[in-house]
Amino acid sequence: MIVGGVDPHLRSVRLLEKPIPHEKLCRELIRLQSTTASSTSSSDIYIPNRIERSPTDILKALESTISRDYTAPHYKFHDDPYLTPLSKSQIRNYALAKESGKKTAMWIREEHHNLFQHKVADPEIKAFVPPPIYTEESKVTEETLLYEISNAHVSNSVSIYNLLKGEVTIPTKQALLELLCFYNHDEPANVELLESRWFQLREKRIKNTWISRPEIDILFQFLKEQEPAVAAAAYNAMICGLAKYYNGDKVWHMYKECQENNIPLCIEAYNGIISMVSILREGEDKTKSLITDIYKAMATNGITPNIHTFNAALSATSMLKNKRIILDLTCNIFADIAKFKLKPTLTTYYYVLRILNKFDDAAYTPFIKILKSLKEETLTIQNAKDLYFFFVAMEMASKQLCERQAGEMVNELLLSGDNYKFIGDSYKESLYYRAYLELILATEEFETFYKIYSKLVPHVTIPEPSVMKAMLETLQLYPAETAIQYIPKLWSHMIMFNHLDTQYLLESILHLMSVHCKPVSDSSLNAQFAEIALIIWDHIQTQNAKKIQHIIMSNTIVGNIIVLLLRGGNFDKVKEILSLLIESPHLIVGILMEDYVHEIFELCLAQAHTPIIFSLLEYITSNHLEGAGEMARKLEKTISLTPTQKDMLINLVGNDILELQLSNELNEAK
Amino acid sequence: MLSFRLRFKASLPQNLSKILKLFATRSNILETNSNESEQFRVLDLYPQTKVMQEKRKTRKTSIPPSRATNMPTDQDWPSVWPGARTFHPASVPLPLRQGYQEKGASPNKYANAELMKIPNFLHLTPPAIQRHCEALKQFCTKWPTVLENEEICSKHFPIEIISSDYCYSSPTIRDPLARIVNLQVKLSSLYLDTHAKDKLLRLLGNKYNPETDIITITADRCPLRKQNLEYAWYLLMAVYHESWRVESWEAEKSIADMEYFDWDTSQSRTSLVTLYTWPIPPTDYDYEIIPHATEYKIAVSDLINNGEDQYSVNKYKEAVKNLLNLKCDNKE
Repeated sequence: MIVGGVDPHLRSVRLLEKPIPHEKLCRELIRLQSTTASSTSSSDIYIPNRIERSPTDILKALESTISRDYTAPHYKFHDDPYLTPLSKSQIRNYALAKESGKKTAMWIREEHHNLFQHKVADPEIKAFVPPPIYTEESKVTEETLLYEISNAHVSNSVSIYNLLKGEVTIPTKQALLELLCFYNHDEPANVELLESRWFQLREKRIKNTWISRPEIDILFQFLKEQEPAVAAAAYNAMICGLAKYYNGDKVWHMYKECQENNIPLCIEAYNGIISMVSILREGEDKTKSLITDIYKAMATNGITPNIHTFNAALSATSMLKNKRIILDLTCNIFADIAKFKLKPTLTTYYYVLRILNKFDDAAYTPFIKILKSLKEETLTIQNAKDLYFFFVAMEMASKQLCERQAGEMVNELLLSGDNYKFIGDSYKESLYYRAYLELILATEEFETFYKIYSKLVPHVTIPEPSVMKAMLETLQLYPAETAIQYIPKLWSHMIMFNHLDTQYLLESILHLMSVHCKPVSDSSLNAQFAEIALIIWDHIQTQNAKKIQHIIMSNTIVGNIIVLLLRGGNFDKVKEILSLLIESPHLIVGILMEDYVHEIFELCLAQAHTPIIFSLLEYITSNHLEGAGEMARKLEKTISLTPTQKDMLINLVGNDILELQLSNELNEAK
Repeated sequence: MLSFRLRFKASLPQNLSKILKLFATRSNILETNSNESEQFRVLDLYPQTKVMQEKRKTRKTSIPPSRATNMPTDQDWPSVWPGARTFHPASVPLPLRQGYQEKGASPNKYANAELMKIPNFLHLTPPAIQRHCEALKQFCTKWPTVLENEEICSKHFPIEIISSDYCYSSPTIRDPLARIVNLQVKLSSLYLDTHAKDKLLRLLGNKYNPETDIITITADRCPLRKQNLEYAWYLLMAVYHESWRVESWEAEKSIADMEYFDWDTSQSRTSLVTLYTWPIPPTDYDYEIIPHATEYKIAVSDLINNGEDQYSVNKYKEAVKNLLNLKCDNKE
């Protein structure tokens, strides 16, 4: 508990720092000392100044000694096998459940705010204090309004403004307008709730989400009528807000209004206008002239563009379709960036990647150049679009270029320094790792891939079904001995990540086990494969029992399951499956294919397991498949049947076939 | 009951025998029941079918193997176990055992409370400490070259100020104990003469530790550490300057006020010299010429200053004997 006394070094520093009254005694003490001391005098002692550090610097320094432990789950989860999430849904549930506790605490603090008026914390912790509620009775002033605006409480600010009946100074009105334009209809996201943000799915489509509020209109109408500087600020706020919520038409309308009335706009407003160019859909050719017009307007008003201006221009360019125009515009923009000596941000590169996406293989050289230039920089976040860079880059490296080197460069850049924060959210992270894994799978040997895979899975990422499918399909290209090593590992991962409901994955792994890696008949693998097949069958049955809508299996899945079970010697289960198929043929798509039927027959015949053969014959006849007679004959020949069994056989395949057979036999006997 | 009676009457002819049978069995049951509780009797025409309560199915949770099994042998242990933490068997790839069993080996690491109870130092392995030191070097300044050892340090910086900071999980960062300041200085490092030293020690009282020669001034009466520190400085200054000051009343000090017995100014000396030169009255009180006088002086001083015990009394006896030239008979 006690952090420490004072070490002699610090103590001496403190001693020297003492103010005047003690200095005398101190000096006297030291003088008296030095008269007796012969070797050194106090003037020789040089005590260096303390190295300044922030309260968290030591923690950060200690943190830098630790690297990522790939065997451990993310630190937000418990490091315990019973409490570690295994699948994507579990990760989401566990993390959000933890956060919901936080949310509950916040809710209780709000709901019962009268119980949280005690002040135990010193210095006061704002987060512990329940948010104030403003009613008719509460005394509010302009200061309260300004305080709420600075805390970005939209609804509170509006209610205080209404309580004050709009009697506030012009700067306050401007601040309120800016707040309302920035947040429009939504409250600011709580920075405490990291997990909600991490798992939130963001609106992908660009569409007009601006909601016109009466407060905004009244404030704007009022401020517009004031002196030019105030009006300009109001226009700036409105244009920025409208551009943020993609209301292109209104932005353009306001811009025209400003031009007509000679209202000077600020750089942010111009940036907003440029970013709206692509939304206006004025046609390919007009984009360029529109951007040039805005540039000219900026130049006449004496506004120097910043990097966000060119980012907005690039975003407009990336929406175009004509490659010539795109190339032309991009070159111009980069020439301008160089002219104004600006530093491109990640957003700039993100738009460049979007543009390069249209150029297929020609994109390779600029792509590598971008990565090389980014490698030497310390990246800082400047725009929301910065978070899109890494996953787009990885997807490009994977799908467009299919170049391991490029992908590794992107990955290295992501892992270097503090760059991992640019991964964005869980959705982007999973897109990123899907692209990364697919790239390595496509370009490397499976062994190399599996090394990287086992490092990343399951704690960094969990493969999606599509990745799993790609892996299983790749395994089919390898010889059986190689593929067979990986089947148990991939199978356990499939169970772990809840992939058993995905039909195409079941199909792939069953195909691998029954066809590609078919073990010899006396191998112990048969029993293991039969076990897997049994798990799959049982899983489907339990799912069917739970749900009203049944899972409809494909015929290959069922065929493979039966074959694997037979090879593993689990005849009872096969009998059960066949009788289920006869009873409810709607559970599978189509009917068992002939190859499977024959294999099942052969396997049963070899084991002389007549009940299954009878079920099989029943299935064949009920589904009007061919070959029943032939099988019956073969059965007759190889196995000596009891009279009852013969009767059953005759019932199943009809007397004529057997008669024929019997007559043949008689003939032979004669 | 009434409705039953009605029905009973109506259907009496048909199923009399049946009902009688039923009554017989019912009454048997009711008899046994009525002993237990005195509630209204209940007529069950149809024996209740026992509702079989389904056992709650225990859901199987599949637990992955502990991560200790996947750990490579060349892994970076400080990254796996970066901070102080309760022992966890799934994260520590060591075959640890702890505890006692009557028969057999000690229990293994799984579900072992003994291993969880004791604090572990798995986060402070020598490589981890070395790395921490390397990382913290950037915040350290060089030690002054002149201050080679503790002796020189205490010579140049004789004053030591001790205060404590407290850090624990609570909403407030204040702790009342953090205000206390201790100021320590060696008595030998202060410049004092006999009078000043004597006065200083009187003023200090129990603040001075004669064994270590250290003066400790503790200040805790002000609410803030800074105020306490300044107060401690003030106290040291005040006591130092006060001890150098000689007040006029200090000259009035009589023998009764003496804090120790000084033989040179005592009646004992006068008496001894007077006795020696008797009957001539002594001109000066020089005792050097008296044989064994020094021995006697030491013996008397010791006896009075250090208190009576067997040794000092014997010593005094010998001194007196020598002085008076009285020798033991048996020795002579």
